[in-house]
Amino acid sequence: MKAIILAGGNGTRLRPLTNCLHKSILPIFNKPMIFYSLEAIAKTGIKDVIIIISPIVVSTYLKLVGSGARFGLNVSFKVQENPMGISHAILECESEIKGHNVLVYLSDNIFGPDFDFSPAVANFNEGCELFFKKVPDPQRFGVPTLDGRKVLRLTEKPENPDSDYACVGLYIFDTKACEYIKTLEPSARGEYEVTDLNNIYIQDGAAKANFLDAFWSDAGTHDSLHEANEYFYNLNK
Amino acid sequence: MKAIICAAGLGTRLAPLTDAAPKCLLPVYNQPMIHYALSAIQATVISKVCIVIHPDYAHMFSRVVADGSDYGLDVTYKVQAEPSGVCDAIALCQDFIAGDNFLMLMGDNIIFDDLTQVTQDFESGCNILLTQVQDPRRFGVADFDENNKLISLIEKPENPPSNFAWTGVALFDSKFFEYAKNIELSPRGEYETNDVIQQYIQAGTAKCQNLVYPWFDAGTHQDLVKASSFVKSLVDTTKDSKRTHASIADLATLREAIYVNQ
Repeated sequence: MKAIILAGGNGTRLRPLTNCLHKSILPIFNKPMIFYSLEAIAKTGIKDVIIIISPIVVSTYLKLVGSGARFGLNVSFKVQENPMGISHAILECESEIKGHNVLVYLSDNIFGPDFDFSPAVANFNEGCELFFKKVPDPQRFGVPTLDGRKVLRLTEKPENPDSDYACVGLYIFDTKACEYIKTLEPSARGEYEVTDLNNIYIQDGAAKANFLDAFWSDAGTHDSLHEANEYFYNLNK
Repeated sequence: MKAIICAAGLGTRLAPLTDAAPKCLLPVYNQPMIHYALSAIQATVISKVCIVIHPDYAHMFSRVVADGSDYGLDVTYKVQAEPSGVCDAIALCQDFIAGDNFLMLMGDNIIFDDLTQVTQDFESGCNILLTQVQDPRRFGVADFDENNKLISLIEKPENPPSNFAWTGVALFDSKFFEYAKNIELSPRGEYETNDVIQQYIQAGTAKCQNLVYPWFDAGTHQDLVKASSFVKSLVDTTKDSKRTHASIADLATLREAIYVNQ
């Protein structure tokens, strides 16, 4: 299995912090945000990682992450000139991931250290793995409609959510992902949505739901960023 | 009067955070750290500010602070290429100060005090702003005689003579640059501002006073989160979630919130 980390977002909601520091390198207690995804991926045994970044921040990422050797990883970078959604970013890596299952990690997702997705990686055969976390404000996220532990569909930022779960920014896809993405139409906001890719797997009956209890933050606002900082500060007290 | 912000320190104790950015541009809750120094200056009548920066990070300052117009300030920059210390950073600004008095601040210290009065009252000599700390061994510590007159500042003393630490905030007249020429490199290889202040003390022109509001030196990862938590609690108290950019009102509201909290 290979991994793709999406670090392309500009973090406009985190201004003025993101006027000089790219969102995925903002501090989470004692490390830049992207170190958490790299360390978690390294724990699974995956070696090859592609980080998708925007052109203006390349030098900073090269300096911080380099070859990935400090994480025991083989890291390469892909520059995304025109961000057109998560599914589009996955497709940009088509030649690199050809014939491999792929783990997709959105770098602004911060998990507590008690969340270990190594078993999901080790036991993965085909289809896709989705990860859900109970949240007080599901309207902000991709929300599953559930029948027990079975996912019937995912809805992006629903006004009236069918459940109080959020689909977190971590996915495992089999080798069919790129073919599926090629069938997608852009959404109303003009992006190729990961939710639409997930829904194809769900309709195929090939999506497996995982429910996590561990700490999770999407670090999208000053408050959730601070919450993640305080969480790791308290862990290290 | 003019102002100098010393922002050339790399903050290697905060690595790997500071592998990507200088310490004073790291976030304190919802603002880059240097926001607090700029806001403090903004609240005074000072408009001309020189920020001393490290050459590697010039592009970042140009994006965050730029010409200072967001703060209503006129900001210029000096580049300090060698890690030769704060005193040397100030010495670089001699032509910028051009015989004026000046306020000095550290870009990586977080203050909430209104410096209007202290800058208005300043005429000559130096005025060193202190604060009480729990662990004075980490700081430059003030020693007083029996009349509570400042007799020296001692850098990171093993046996601190008091728990009053220098906050990195001070006012100086332009004699600073003469005095700075007299001093020698310290054991840690820097020209120490303490040695300049000592000459003011000997000339009988040094004063000191205490900051009124809390002060943070974000020297460790823990300090940084503590400072962020403090600011967040103030912002929450003021219930003004629209505070997304710098203004005089920010610090005024924060000060009010501190007062309410105390």
